[in-house]
Amino acid sequence: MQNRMSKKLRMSQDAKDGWILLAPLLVLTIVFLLYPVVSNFYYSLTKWKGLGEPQFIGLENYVKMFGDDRFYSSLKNLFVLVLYIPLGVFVPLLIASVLRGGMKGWKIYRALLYLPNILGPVILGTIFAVMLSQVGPITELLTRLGFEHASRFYLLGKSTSAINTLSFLFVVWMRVGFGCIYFLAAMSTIDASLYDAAKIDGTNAWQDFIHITIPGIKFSIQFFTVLAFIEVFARMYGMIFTLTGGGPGYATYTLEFGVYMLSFSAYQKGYASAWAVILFFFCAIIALVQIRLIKKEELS
Amino acid sequence: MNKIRNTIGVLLLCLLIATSAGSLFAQGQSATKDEGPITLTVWNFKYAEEIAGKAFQEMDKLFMEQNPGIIIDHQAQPESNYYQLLLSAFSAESDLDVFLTHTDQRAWGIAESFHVFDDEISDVMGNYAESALKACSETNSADSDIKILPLTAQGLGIYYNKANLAKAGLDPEAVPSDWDDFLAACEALKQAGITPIMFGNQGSPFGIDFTYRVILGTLFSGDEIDGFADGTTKFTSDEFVQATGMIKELYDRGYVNVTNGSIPYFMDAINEFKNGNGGFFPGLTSDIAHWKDFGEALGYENIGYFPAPVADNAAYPENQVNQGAGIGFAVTEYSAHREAAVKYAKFMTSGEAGKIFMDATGAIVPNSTIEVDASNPMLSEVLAHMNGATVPDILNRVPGGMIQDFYNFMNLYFIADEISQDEYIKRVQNIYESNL
Repeated sequence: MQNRMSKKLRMSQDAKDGWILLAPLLVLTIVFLLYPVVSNFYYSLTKWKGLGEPQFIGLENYVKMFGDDRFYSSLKNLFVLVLYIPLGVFVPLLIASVLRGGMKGWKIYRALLYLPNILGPVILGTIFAVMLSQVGPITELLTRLGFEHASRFYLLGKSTSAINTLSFLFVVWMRVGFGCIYFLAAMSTIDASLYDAAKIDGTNAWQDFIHITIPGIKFSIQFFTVLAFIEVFARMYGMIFTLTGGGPGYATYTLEFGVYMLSFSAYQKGYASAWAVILFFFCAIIALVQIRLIKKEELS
Repeated sequence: MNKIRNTIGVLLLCLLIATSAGSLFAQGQSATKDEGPITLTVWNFKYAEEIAGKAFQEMDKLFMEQNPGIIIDHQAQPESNYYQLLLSAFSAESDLDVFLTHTDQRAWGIAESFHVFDDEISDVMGNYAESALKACSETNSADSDIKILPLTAQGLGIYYNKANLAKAGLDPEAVPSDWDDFLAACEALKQAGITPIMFGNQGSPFGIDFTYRVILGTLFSGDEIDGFADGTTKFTSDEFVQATGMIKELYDRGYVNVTNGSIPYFMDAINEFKNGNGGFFPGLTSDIAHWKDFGEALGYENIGYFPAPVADNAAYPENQVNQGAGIGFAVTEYSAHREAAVKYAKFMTSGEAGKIFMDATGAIVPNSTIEVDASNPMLSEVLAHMNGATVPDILNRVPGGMIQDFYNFMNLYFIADEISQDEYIKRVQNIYESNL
């Protein structure tokens, strides 16, 4: 009996090798992922500014958060941003579909479309803050064209236009380049004979797009959508900071931006951790959906 | 399989050796550091500025000449994220010895990591202005808990372009004595086709912010301003409501440049005023956007100054907002070279070094070892106000964490014009309470 047990417990050489190979990644994951996540949960129950000893205060931060205007404004703004995701998926999909047909000079268009991805959100935020300002080139052009009061038109100055401008720039415009390349790559896996057969049946380009292209790259579309959610929830800080600073008011505040502001500007790391816990749950849901999709694809 | 196992074993061994060697090398390096000249790491958010940066370089050179065993590694840091960077550096106890800092709540919020100078400056404490030492003390005391050594005496006020006032038919030597007078002057400027008030509010709305601070200085007593540090004085108070209404009136009457929401105060709005545009401009008394900046651009005889537009029924119409100290040098509590770091901070804020900074930038250095050239009438006028009836700056009292949100709501109310005054006041009070 004991012999059987020890045999069971004894690790095979293959398993040992596996653990050795896995060890560096495991250590990195524990140090840079698991530990921060777990400690964040702990800090969310403390009053701490990032210096000195944290003071345990139980659920006070959560109570404060659920009564905080900024929190609800952040959720509302995230909702607006999420509403732009379908457009952010559809536009690159459509462009990729057109490019796939072999448009003249498509390589140049592809390079131009991809440019925003190379520049990154901080640079783009700074550029657009200048471009859209009341003294920027667009206003100057409009003024020269005879629009006397062009300088009164300020997209980033009003709440509604600010969040919609931010949403369009980040969720739609900035992701077009990557989306096109991604969808073009996915479309190259569709069997060309399907289009030939459809042509014989007399379909037009739109019908090809709806009935062949979209079903053919369904998984890629789902995956790109999930990526868009991740970007909206956890990768917008750079653009918000440079474009609007979260304002006017809380018009462009998001959970992620709030975590930064509370943590580094207000020195409320404990409270910021409570916000980060909520953000963690949103991201966890997105990650679960992603895993599920991948598993489903593998099965199919 | 054995071959793979051996390869992995060798790789892990190499990694271990490399790590150990690295650690030993680092220890060796620090040992060498202890034996050789000391390198002080200094952070400075003004180091990248053309004039101030050159002055700091000259000051460093002088210090290193006088202290051959100390090397200064002066590093420019961005002002927009400066305190976030400092917090990170303090948390990690990174290699930082001395740093330039403001004397407001952004600094006091992380002051646990600031070294207390009390003992080291006992011999020279009398050289620093009392108001400056108070501003540099964590407990607002002139002789204890001094955590910053003051480099500038900072205040806020309104500068005006005398030529533009004359063009509008106004007497350039007569300062608007009350709110109606100020509005009348703005109207005359507007009618003459001159922008009455030049604001820069993009990013941080300093135009609105500075105007608020000077107006509130005439409405609140020093104690009431101090009350903003602990919640005793509220943003729902009549005085704050009145100041809000005054600034809103300037917007409603079209006295503020239309593009104020799109041009940053630093440096676009300042340059606009220096280029001769605008009648009035909310500026500073030291560093930049001050008497020297405008005097050199427009001619000293062409620049006027007064501490604030005086509110109706203002309790303190003569008050000049005086922060005591605007910026200064501090030393990290954990600095490995504390003695040298303190020596450097003392050097930079007094004597020859302070004089270099003052001459280059026009800053008023609050140290009696530095002679102020009062022959300039513009400087004399500013100094007369700074040494007269003064009141603390509200921004030095309110919690640092509320500032960004406060600014965002200034944008929403004054520039976007999307919420009512009542809603604005309520929201600002909420922001304040959640940061106390």
